[in-house]
Amino acid sequence: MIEVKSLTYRYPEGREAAINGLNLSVQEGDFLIIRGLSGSGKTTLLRSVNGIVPHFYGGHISGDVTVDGLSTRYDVERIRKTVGLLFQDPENQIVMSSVKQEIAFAMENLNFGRSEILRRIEYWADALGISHLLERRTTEISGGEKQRVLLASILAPGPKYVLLDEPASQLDNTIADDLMRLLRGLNKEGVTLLLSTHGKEKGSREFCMEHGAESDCACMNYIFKKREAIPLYTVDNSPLLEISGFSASYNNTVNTVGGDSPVINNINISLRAGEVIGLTGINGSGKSTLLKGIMGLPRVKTEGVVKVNTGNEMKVMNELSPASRARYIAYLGQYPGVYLFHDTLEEEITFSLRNFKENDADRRTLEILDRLFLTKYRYTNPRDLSTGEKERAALASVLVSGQRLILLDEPTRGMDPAKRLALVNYLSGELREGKGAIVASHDTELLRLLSANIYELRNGELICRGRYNG
Amino acid sequence: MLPIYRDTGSRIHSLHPYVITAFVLSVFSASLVTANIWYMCLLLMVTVIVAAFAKILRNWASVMRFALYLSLSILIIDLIILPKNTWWNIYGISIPVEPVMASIPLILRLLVSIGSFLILSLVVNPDEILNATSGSKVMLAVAMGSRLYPLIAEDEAEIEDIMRVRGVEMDAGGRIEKIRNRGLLLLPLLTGSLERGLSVAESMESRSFSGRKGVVPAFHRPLFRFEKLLLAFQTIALFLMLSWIFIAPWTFPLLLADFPDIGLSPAALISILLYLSVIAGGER
Repeated sequence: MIEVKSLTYRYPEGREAAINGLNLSVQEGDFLIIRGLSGSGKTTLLRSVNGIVPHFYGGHISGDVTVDGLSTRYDVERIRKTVGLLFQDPENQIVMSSVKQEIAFAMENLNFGRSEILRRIEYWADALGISHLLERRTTEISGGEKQRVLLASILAPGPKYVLLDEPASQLDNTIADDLMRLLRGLNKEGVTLLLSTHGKEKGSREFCMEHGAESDCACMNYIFKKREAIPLYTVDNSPLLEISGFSASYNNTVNTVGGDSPVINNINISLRAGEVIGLTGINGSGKSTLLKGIMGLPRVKTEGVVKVNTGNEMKVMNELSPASRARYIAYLGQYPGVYLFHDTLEEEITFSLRNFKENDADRRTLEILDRLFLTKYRYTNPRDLSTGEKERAALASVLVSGQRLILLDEPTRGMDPAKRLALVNYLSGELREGKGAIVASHDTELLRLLSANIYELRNGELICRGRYNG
Repeated sequence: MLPIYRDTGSRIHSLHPYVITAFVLSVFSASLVTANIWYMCLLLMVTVIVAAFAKILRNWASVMRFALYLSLSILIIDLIILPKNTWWNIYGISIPVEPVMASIPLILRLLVSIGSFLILSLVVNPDEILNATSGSKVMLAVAMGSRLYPLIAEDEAEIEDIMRVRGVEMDAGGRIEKIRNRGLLLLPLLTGSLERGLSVAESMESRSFSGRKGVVPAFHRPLFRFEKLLLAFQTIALFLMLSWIFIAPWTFPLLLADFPDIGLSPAALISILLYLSVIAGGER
């Protein structure tokens, strides 16, 4: 049994408590779903059950967390034998370079015997459907496969309790569904699960959090409830983007991570002002490659013609460098945090303005900050912003030239429904003014809210799927 | 192409990491103590042959190209600082003898050193070193470094793309401008790497790394009898090379010699053959 009693915790650099007088009791065999907005304390709660908080992070703690009667303050090594913790991003958790070694890692640390380690690796690889990966290197497998390898590493020592921090947020829907099926099976076998999520996963009971404390799940469900999609804007019929005979593949001489190169074969796209195209497809289907190809980024080899409406003409982009294309196309990749490296948000914007040789930097900075609801963060260090704010700040850093075409790659990774709604509202305003967007995403709810015209990338071909109806 | 381990299926790849490590350390030590041009040429040839047998020649050569550029700086410095009393006249071009002769052994030493350590990084699976050393924490750090290295390279490419979409012409302008633009990548790269390091450390901690004591690696790889023989050959090769210094020191000019001798003893030649024994490889 896990018991959290009056837990209050503040990170060393934190101004406010991440957990605030929290009480929670989890019985053996429970499948607890932990819901809450970003920054509500879900991750910190899971860290405190495994003893990562406070032993790894330091900080100030009061109250107590016990697992089967053992306190995380004094018995952390014994607790970790029974509590496994899986984080959000598989890439940032893998320690070893081979799959077998990765699965063995926790067992070796816990001094399991050699034959026992080998037996358990075989058992869990078989149970999680990753036997075929055992001889592979961890750098050569996909994100979904990495997540399953890590799950095997955590389950192999036989923990009674498994904590999962948004484990499906980086996975496509099919793999995420497989993972949930697997977790339900484990729960039936007696493993107690605590899963934090922004999704709609269901367990045996729910626990909701807000500002580091328990909150009313009815209130949370209101935030999570289904919203109306934005209306379709028909500004004019002139195309914003025309792509014809477009093929793209990853340039593997530069790309060293990942397996087979995704390839796009001879596709055509036309996007009109006020329209959103939603790109879907499994991990590795080529969604990101298509967006990068449109931007002309050098790691993607392309063929075919890309034309963008510059206001005066349909300009052929093929001969332009990515930096020149960026004057007409705003592109935001999967990791917005990487876009931000200056000391203040204002400096971020002026850096881009300077590169685009735009005049009147002050006015334009204020304008773009205002449009993205970021004015109050003008002098804030962008790395201190929350996930949703970082996404908007990164968007501001690429949208400075007033581009009419916006390309977004997985813009809601790690975003809660409230922040997703804020992004939809922002994009809705842009679409109304005659801009257009291509959004590559696994987030079907985002694409539904945007009334996006859905195209699925499968085996290099683009298949039109229409719009989501509900 | 990154100089990281990749199993090409060669017999050299299947050797115990101790054998390759002994080979590299032995060749490296030999290159350090000798200034004999011919001997160092032979050492360089040994590394080329081993790289070819390990089927890593292309990747090896791509890094060695940069080593070659680096070695040019040695020649330039010697040309600037060393006296020029004697001159060669080749097709009407006067070449100062002293700086050229002094820089040749240094350049060869640099190439042999980089070439041999490249073999270590391209042929030896870091996980196997970890297993061979009973899961020591130092070797774990090495193994992790090799895993994170390609990720950092991927980050660098990603940040470069981001700079482009923020209007930076990464490939335009003169050399100075290109270098300045590359400099823009450093800060985000460093910050990203630090954040990833913290996440990996947290993941390790959550899997009881801090309690890691007396670990028995699950995939311990024993040293086979044939590999023990190869290990002995590498040690003998180094011993023979060192004995050459004492037996015939006049044929073995040391580091500061003005004009390296070109003589080679049978012991030196035998040592070269012993170094080459690793091409026999292990079991596949």
